[in-house]
Amino acid sequence: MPQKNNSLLTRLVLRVSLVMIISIALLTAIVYIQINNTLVSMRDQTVEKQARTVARHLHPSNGLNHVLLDLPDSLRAFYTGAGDDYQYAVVDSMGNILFSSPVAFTDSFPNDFHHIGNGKFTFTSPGGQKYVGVTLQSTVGGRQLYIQVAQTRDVSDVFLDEITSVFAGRLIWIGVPFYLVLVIVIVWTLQSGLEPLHKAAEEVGKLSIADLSLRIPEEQVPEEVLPLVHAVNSSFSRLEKSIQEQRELTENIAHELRTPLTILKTRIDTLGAPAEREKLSYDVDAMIKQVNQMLDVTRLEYADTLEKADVDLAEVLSQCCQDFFPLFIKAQRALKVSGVDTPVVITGNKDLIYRAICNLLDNALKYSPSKTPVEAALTGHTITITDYGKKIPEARRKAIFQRFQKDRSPSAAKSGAGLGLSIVSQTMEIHGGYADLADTDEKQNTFRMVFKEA
Amino acid sequence: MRILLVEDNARLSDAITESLYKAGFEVDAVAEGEDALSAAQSQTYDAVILDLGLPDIDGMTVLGTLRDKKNTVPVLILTARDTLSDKISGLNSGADDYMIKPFEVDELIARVKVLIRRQAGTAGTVIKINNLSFDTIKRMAQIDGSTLALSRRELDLLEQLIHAAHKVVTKKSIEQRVYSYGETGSANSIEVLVHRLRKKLADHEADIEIHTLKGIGYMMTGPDHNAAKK
Repeated sequence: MPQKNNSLLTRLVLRVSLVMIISIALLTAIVYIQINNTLVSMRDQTVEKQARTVARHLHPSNGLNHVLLDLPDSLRAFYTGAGDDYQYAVVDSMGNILFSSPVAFTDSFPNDFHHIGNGKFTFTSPGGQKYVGVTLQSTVGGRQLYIQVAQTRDVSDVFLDEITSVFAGRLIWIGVPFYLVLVIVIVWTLQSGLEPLHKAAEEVGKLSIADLSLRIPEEQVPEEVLPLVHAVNSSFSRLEKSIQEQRELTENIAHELRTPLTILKTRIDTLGAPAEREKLSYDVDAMIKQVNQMLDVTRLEYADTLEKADVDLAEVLSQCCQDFFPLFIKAQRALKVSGVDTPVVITGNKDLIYRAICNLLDNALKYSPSKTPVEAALTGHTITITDYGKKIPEARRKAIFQRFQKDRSPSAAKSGAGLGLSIVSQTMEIHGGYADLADTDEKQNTFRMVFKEA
Repeated sequence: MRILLVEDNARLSDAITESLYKAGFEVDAVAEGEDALSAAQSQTYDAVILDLGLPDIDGMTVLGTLRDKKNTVPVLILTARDTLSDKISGLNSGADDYMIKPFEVDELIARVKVLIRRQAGTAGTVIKINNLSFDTIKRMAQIDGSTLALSRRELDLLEQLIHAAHKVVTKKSIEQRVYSYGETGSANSIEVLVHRLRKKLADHEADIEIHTLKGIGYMMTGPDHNAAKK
């Protein structure tokens, strides 16, 4: 396909217009030739008719030539007044000129009467004018006579030019608007004809990774494009199936991993040596957390299939903090909550928001030094989780919300697949808000979940 | 104390049984819902640990059937972590507590003990956490046998915290319990009340702690909960 103009419509219009211009030109040429031919044959007929008229007025007589030319006065006047445009001559078989018009270039007339053929002849006058003429054979009073009539060819050419110029003038006045209307009609026809293609293209444009069930509608699509649309649709189906399978696989693996991990954790808890138990338990917890985050990530990618309802942010934050509190006690850390006394209702998915907050609380607990408190707050539509750990450098503030970006310092070799903050970020996107790390001068990290106000 | 464990994964069931056994419980372990129902009918249990994902009938159905038969045995549900909403609907349909897999066995045991205590409490007996005992009928708290001098409100608070040990009790629910209808305390009256109770417990060397979740409420734990304490 040429790169410069990829619009099918434009290309079709250009081609159709070109074809139209060529066909109009051809048609005009054909008409011109036809008119010319008609005029030529009409002229030939006129000449012949004049020859017959002359022949009709030849009568046998007892006069000098035994033949009398009895032309009516009008005809005689015509030949007299016509100058040298029209001329005739009556010749006998010996080449003697019996009669002729007042002006006649009889020297140029053919005199070989044995081969007159169809009788037509042409010649050029001494003045350089071109003539056409006809020789007609006639028997008058037993004598073989030849009537020759000639007229200038220019007469008809002038006529032809006249016709052509008038015709062309009319053609421009009628033809140009007609042509324009035709072009408009063609453009409109092509446009409406191509409409199903536009629609199909629009449908494809609506496709997103989240909604793989969308197919290009095949009902309105023209036959010619149907195989293409069909092929695209079936590859969509394959894509959907394979993504579905992959998603199920991830979910199944995560699910299947959880049971043995639960058993492992339970067994570790019953072990004798407390120090070993502690370490093993920590590792198993990290594995469990990764598996859980894997599940969350898989689900978040298909967020539009999640149910949404009224969610009280105060209630969810309070619930998270209550559920996490035993872990804080265990780590001998303080957790402070504020702003959860009055409900703040939004539309969203409670489970997602709950787990996003859990991820932030978990990070705060994990990445900040012991003895420092963690603060959770709801202000307006914004949830903040603040810790007093090592401040995350400005340059890393955006990056930490991406997948598999973890930790803050090389020394903190703590667990976590680096999915936690990306889960928070994706959750906020789904709710039309955003997650970020607040810009502050204090020695603290304040993670924000900013929900859109209804 | 006898516990019915309903868990279809044999290895997990073994591990939990072993832990419960070590903690001094008798355990009957079954793998199917039908077996669970017939066991609950023929034997009186102090608590049931019920996994929601069972091979034959759904755990929720087992719970519903138990409650339909007026069986008030405390039930602790074990569920996959998947959704918060599921947990809540579990609590609404007659479960007494829930735990999300995977869980800390120590916490499971602590929670089961709380359930059994609470059940006993409603029957009017003495609830014990470490060296603290609370008589729900006489409304009396003792530490190592010596009676604590507590006000009515302090007793109300202590009772509420003991019933919900290892879980957060919100300030709001304490207020509702401590103040009768129409009464309102001053802005920090609950804080003052908790402070006083803490001091009295500490004075008597009680082996329990009341933790503050600032902005939300309080949680009572015994030191046994602080397994990670160094």
